[in-house]
Order: sequence, then structure tokens, then C-alpha cells
Amino acid sequence: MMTKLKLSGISKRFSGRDAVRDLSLTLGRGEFLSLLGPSGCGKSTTLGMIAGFIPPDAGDILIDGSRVNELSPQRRRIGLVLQDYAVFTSLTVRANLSFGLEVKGLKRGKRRYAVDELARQFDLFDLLDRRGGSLNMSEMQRVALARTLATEPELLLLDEPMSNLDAEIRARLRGELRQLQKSLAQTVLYVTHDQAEALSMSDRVAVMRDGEIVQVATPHEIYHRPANRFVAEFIGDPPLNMIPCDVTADVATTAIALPGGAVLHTSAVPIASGRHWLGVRPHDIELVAEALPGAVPAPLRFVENFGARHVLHAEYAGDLLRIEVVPAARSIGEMLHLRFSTGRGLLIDRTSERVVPFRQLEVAA
Amino acid sequence: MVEQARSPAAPRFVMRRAYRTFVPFNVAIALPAQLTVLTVVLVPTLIVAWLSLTDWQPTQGIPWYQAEFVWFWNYYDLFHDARFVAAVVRTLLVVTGCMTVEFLLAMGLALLFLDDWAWRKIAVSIIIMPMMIVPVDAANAFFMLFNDRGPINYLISIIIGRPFEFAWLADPNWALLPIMLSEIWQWTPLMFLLVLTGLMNLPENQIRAAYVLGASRTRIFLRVMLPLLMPVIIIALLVRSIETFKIFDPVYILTRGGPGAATETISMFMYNGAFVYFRIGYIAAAALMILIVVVAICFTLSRPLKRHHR
Amino acid sequence: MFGEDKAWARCLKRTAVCIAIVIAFFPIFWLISTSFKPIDEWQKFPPVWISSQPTLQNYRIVFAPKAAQEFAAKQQGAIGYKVSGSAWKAFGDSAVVATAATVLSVLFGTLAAYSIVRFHTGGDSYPFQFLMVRIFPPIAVVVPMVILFSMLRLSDTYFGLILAYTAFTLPFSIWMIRSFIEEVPEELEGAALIYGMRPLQAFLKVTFPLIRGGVLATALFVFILNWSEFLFALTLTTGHVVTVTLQVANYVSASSGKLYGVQAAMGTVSTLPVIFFGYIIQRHLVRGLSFGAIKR
Repeated sequence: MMTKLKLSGISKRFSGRDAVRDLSLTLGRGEFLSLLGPSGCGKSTTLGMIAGFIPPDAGDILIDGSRVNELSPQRRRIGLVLQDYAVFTSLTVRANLSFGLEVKGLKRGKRRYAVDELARQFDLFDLLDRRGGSLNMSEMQRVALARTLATEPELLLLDEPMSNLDAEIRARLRGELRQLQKSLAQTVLYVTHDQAEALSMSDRVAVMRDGEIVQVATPHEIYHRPANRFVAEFIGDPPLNMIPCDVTADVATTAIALPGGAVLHTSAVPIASGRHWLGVRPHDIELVAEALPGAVPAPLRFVENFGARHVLHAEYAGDLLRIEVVPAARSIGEMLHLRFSTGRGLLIDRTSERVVPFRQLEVAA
Repeated sequence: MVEQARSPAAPRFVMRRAYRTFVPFNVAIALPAQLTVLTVVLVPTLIVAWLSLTDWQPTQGIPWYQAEFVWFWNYYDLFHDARFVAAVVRTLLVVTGCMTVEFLLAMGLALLFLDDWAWRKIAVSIIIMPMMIVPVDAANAFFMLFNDRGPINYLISIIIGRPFEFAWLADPNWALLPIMLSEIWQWTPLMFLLVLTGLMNLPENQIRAAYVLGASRTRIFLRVMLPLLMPVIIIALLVRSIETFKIFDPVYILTRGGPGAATETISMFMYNGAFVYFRIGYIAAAALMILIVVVAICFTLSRPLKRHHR
Repeated sequence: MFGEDKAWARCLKRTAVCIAIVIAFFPIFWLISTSFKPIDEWQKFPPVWISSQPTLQNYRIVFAPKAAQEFAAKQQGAIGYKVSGSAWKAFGDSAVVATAATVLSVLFGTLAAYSIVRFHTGGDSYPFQFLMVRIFPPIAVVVPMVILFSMLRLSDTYFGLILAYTAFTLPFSIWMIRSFIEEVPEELEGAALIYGMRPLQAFLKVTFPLIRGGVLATALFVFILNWSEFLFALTLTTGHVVTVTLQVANYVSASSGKLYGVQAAMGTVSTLPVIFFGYIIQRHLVRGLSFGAIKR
């Protein structure tokens, strides 16, 4: 896969604060990569530097192999859709769509044809003569997207394009956007703080925190083999459960002792003995009938009813565990019995916060 | 005591008083303003309407309400009065000329102030100084500047290399220029401020988006920024046009409307007619005519403006 | 916003700005400079840019009646100038009229604005009726006003002028204060009403403190307008009331001769309050001059 975008040691400082620190990233042609992270992690700044509005303090930005640091945004041949879409409010939708084409010098006839094509593709026919300022959010988003794609940019930058839309629309749009991207083979860099979006749409996800990229991997990798505690806790909905545990590392096996007595055994993993965390996904916790070996008691405190699934909050080891289950009738205060035995887990090193995934051997008797 | 209004057109809170007054409370407190305006504006307008139908001149020695009625002959005479028509045309010329120059200069200047640079704030403060001079003092300053042996002529003589002692204010063809320059000098800063405010309130993201789409600065200015600026530009032009139409101070100070009637604007025409020639009835007709025309124009323009204001 | 300019473009920009600054300042500079020139430099050719013998004589003539009379006596016969008395009366009259008119305008304007914003008094078009006042060419109303005032015995009185000034600045007061009140949510007063306050009380105790700055700015703005006003002062007075704008015109007239230096001195001093207040309310100038339509 050819490299479309390469960031090499980019950094930017704003009034004494490091917004982006020595960031490197490559994006292949036709790839959909999400830049995922909490607010303030530097993802929008990175986008601004790629677009050309923020000059980096250090590092190189290469598009198709050539350095573009000195190029103004006009000349970088990229597409940009900002969070507020920035539709030209005083122009008609038609004028918005043909804007980029006018810049390219396309003749009127060809422009009209292209605009009609775009309108068909993005379902904008009825809106063509409406003023940009009179559209609602999701209409604006379509116009912004269409307008940008009209210029066939080398690289498409999207800054949280869904955050202004209602939840139902978002779910549908994720699929549509991904399909569109695939059909156009468009290289996309997608900035978001919503991990569900990032995981569901991307070829790869780059998790950012405090100006640095913490991990770049496929959604599967990110979910199952997060690099560190931050990624592990940030990814996943409902979030990961963190259980304090005592690890005894041996030559061939490692024993993980949980509060309340249950012990998990796994093959040798690179972690030292001592107190660490056990990370368990809510759907990796099993509800069992009373007092099976390896089961721990936890009183039910709260039920989140999501219709197709329930998330139970049960008290264990001084904290609330989240357990994802099939809906059933339960009562608050009911004593649940939990088993962490679906075979996978994450050990999180207390000192380095590095994540060590493991596979369980068997439940100790 | 407070209830939510039902219909969307009525205000959200309908305030009711606990006490009864002769006049509704909200009307009562608006009365002082209303009455002042009524007395100073409405009553005189009615008097003007009356007077316009007479040919009263204070020199006749009779009180104004006993003046002889000439009905609509004043209006007829006005239409055929070359001096009046000239005054109207001249005023419109002054308004158009001043507006165009003020707007172009203001826009050009405002664009220079878009980016932030070191002594920007100080520069703005100095540039808006002309606005904050008493107009009479500004006119007097221009009177001195355009003196036939004054600095303007001196500078011109340096540029063209031979002595230049043109009597600007005594020349019927050119006397209007110092008047217009005085007005332009004093009020371009206002347009500048209004346009600059408009420019600074422009949505930056739309401009960024246009930039990324590859547009040149000219295209961005013409196709994105100008349309967004239209409301501000229209208000600025409207406000300034109305004020320029009423122009009086510079004309009075610089030329009194002369030489002859060469620089007579509408206000000057009426002043001269009333306070120099004492033809009050006649001038009243002119006044009423101007009032009606101006109000009519504003009414036709106010409909789209009010819709925009909501 | 547009990224870095090339060096030559920046240089051109700075030059243009410098030219604008020079043009903006030059007539003011000339006024101030002339005010310090001795009499022989007033009309010298080539013109004197900055006086080589700066003097305060002009200012003394403006402010000290004795100096004014001495000056007149000296020039009598030689050039034949006649100078009116000191300008203190003009400053006093202007101060009285401008201040009183400002107080009335802001007071009436605030009440009317409150009525319009919170009670929707007079409907949609009511505020625009006040705008009409501003559209009237004052000269059109001056003639009947002279007649009206003479009937009401208000000719050449302080009160007459104050009344005229108040009426013609009300549009600014109302529209400016209206825009300030609109920025304060109604709910605040609504809450006060629930606590038992009467509507006007609620306004004065809750909203007014929040718009105090705006009202002050409006007051200064109206004061500037009143202080600078010329036409009404010219036509509605006949000598008993003299404002600074009239007094300035007195120094260059058929009876006084061409006392440019003195006029420049008077002009400089009379313009100082306007410049001073103008810079104080600089932030609000845009709102005021666009009748509240454009805000920063």
C-alpha cells in the first residue's frame, strides 16, 4: 500500500503547553484511519497542521512523498470538513457544491453536470436552491461532505463530523460514510472522541493522549490487545472493569488471585509478581448460580436497561463492576455470583500501566 | 402576577400590576419620550404642513396663523424653482459621491486591519479620531486648510512645481470639493469601524473551508466574505446616507451655500430661504415635500429591513 | 486568518496604514498647531507647519476677557478686529444644555426602551417611529420650531434648546439601551416578580445594574452629540444662549475678522471633551452609530 500521508516527528507548542509532541503517523492510500482521543489530546491541532492552518514547530508533513510544510492550505489538495461544517451560509447549496469546481476552472456546463451528480449521490436534489444558512445540521453535513469530495482531494480530513448530529442519524451515517469511502477509495483521516465510531468505521485506529499517539492498530487489536491502561479503559462501551489482584508469577504458569478468593490460572506471561490490575470486559463476566467454584459474590446495585441488553452494576472489592447480560428480571440488592471465566483477560501492570493479555488455562477447583 | 403568554407573537411574560393606574404602566413610562418627540417633532410638522399652504413671511407683520393661503402654489413654484431642483440634485450628488468614496476607503482600510499586528490598536485609535472631532471644528480646520494661501495649495504647488493659489471656496465649480472632503474625512472612520466590526465577526470557519477548497484570496473575499458582510454594509450605507443627506455644518461654515448658490444643499437651501430671505411659507412647502419623500423612501426600505431584524 | 503575507505585501500594507494615519491626523494637527501660532503666522505663505514662536496668546484670548479686550484694543486701528468676550459663557452654556439634555434623553430613553423590550409597547413598528425622528432633516423642523418656541416663550432659552436636543437624541438612547436590555434575559426579572417585586422595581434592581455600563456609554455618546450640535444652536438662539459650536464660528466672521489662531484655540479646547469621551466609549461606538444593529 502506497503511503498517502506521513507525519514525521510533528510537534506544536501553544503558550507554554505542548499540544502535540513528536508525533509520527503514516496513512496508506485508500485507508480510513481514525485519530481517537479525549478532548484536548491534540487531535484537532494535528489536523490543523496537516491542513496547513497551524505551522508545526518541528517535523515534516509529507503528502504523496513530498514535503508540504511550506505549502498553504490552498495548494495541498486536501479536503477538510470541520465540526461545524462551515457551509457557505450566504450561498445556495448549488453554489456551495460548485465552489471547488469553479476554483479549478471547470466550465459552466461541466460544473452543472458535476453538481447534479453530487446532488444525486448525496441526496441533495431538493436542497439545491436553498440558502446554505437555512439548512439543518444533517443537511449541512451532507453539503459539506459533497462540496469537499467534489474536488477529489488526495486526502480527506474530517473533524468530528458526527458530533452535531442526533444519535439515530449517526448510527446510519457511519455505515453510509464508510461505504462511500470504500467506493471512492478515498484516503480519510477521521478525528473523533467517540470510540464506537472509530472502532466501527476504521481500517486502523490511532489513539492519542496528551499530544502523543499511544497506539496505532486495527480496531480488533485495539480492543483485544490495548497497549496500556489508558487505551484499555478508553476503548469499549461499557468501559473495562478494573479489579485489583495479586499475581504470582511462576516459570510455567501465572496465578491471579482475586479478592474474595477466586483464582485464575494462565500460562506464563511477562509480568512480575505483585499487586496489579485485572481488566475484564463487561461481557466477559459470567453470571452463575450460587457458589460454584471460582465464583465471587457481588450484590446488585443498579441496572441499566438498554432494551436488547442490560448492564448490571454490582459491588465487588469496594467498587462497582459492570456486567453486560441478556435482559432478565432482577431485583436491586440481589446477590449475584460472578465468574471471570470466558477465557480472555488483560493484566495491567500497576507500575508501568502496560497491558499484558492472557488466555486462561482452567478454573481452579 | 406573572403568566406565560399563549400566542407566539405576544411577549413571553405578560406583566400585570397589583395596583390600578389610569394609564397602563408600560405606556406611562414610555410617555415622557413619546411626548418629547410629539412636541418637538410632530407639532412642528403640523405647523409646517399648515405653513406650506400659505405664503407667510415674517416681514409682512402679521402672525403666522393669519397668513394668506396660497394653497398648492408653493409646491408648483418649487417644482419650477431651478435653485431648489439644483439643491436637490446637488445633495444627491454629494450623498452618492461621499458614500462611494467613504465605502471604498473604509473597506480597503478594514481589510488592512484584518490580521493582528503590533501597533494595530493604536493605529485604529488614531484613524477613528476624525469621527470624534466636533463637526464645526473639523469644518473650520478645512476652511483653514483650503485657504488660497493654505497648506493644501502649498502641497499642490510643490507637486506640480509651480505656484498654486486656487481659491477653492470662492470657485463655483470646485467649492463643493472641500465640503465633500470634509465630510469624507470626518466619517470614513465610522464606516471603517462598522466594516471592521463586521469583518471581525465573520465566521472564520467558512473562510477556512473556502481556503482549503483552493480559492484565492480575491475569490474568498468576493464570493464568501462580501455576501456575509452585506447586512453590515447595508446598515452602514443606510445610516450614513441619511446623515449625509442632512449635511449642514460643513456647508454653512465653509461656504454658506455660495458662491451664489453653487454649493447649496437642501439643508442650506432651506436655511437660506427661511433665515436669510424669510420666505417661511415657501420653505415650509419645501420642508414638507422633503419630509414626505424621505419618509416614503424609508417606508419602502423598512419592510425588508424589519424582516431581517427579527 | 489568511496566513503569513509575503514581505513586500506586508510593507505595502504598513505604508498604506501610515498614509491613512497621516491623513486622519493632519487636519487635527493643523488645528492644534494653528492654535499656538502668533497672529502674524496665521496666514503666512508658505504656511507655517509648526510655529517657531509658539504662544498661548490665542488661548488667553479665549479664556481671559481682559486679554481679549487688550487684544481688541491693540488691533483696533491697525487691522480693525473686534473680539467678543471670553468663551467661558459658551463652555458653561454648552455644559448646561448638553448635560441636561443628556440626562433627560437617557432617562426617557431607558424607560421607553424598557417598555418596548419587556412589554412590546406599541407593537413592532414603534421603535421605528423614533428612528423617523433621526431621518427628518432637522432644518425642516427648525422653522416651525422657531415659531412654536416663540409662541411657548421658549425662544433663546436653555429649556427650549434642551428640549430640542432631547427629542433628537432619543432615537439613539432608545435603540442603544434597547440593545443592551435585550441582552439581559427576561427570566431574571421574571424571577424577581415571583418574589413579589413590582415590574419597575424588578427592572431597576435586577436588569439595570447589568446594563449600567451600556447606559453610561449611551449617555456619553448622547453627550457628544449634544455638545457637537450646531444647527439648533444656530437657529433657536439669538444671543442669550451661546454654545461652543456657535462661539467657534464667532471668531471668523464679518464682525470679528479672521481670527484663525483664536478660533483654532477655541476649536481645540471645545473638541477635547468629545475626544476624551469618545475614546472612553470606543468599544460602544459601533453599537451606537448603527442604532444597536451591529455589536462587537
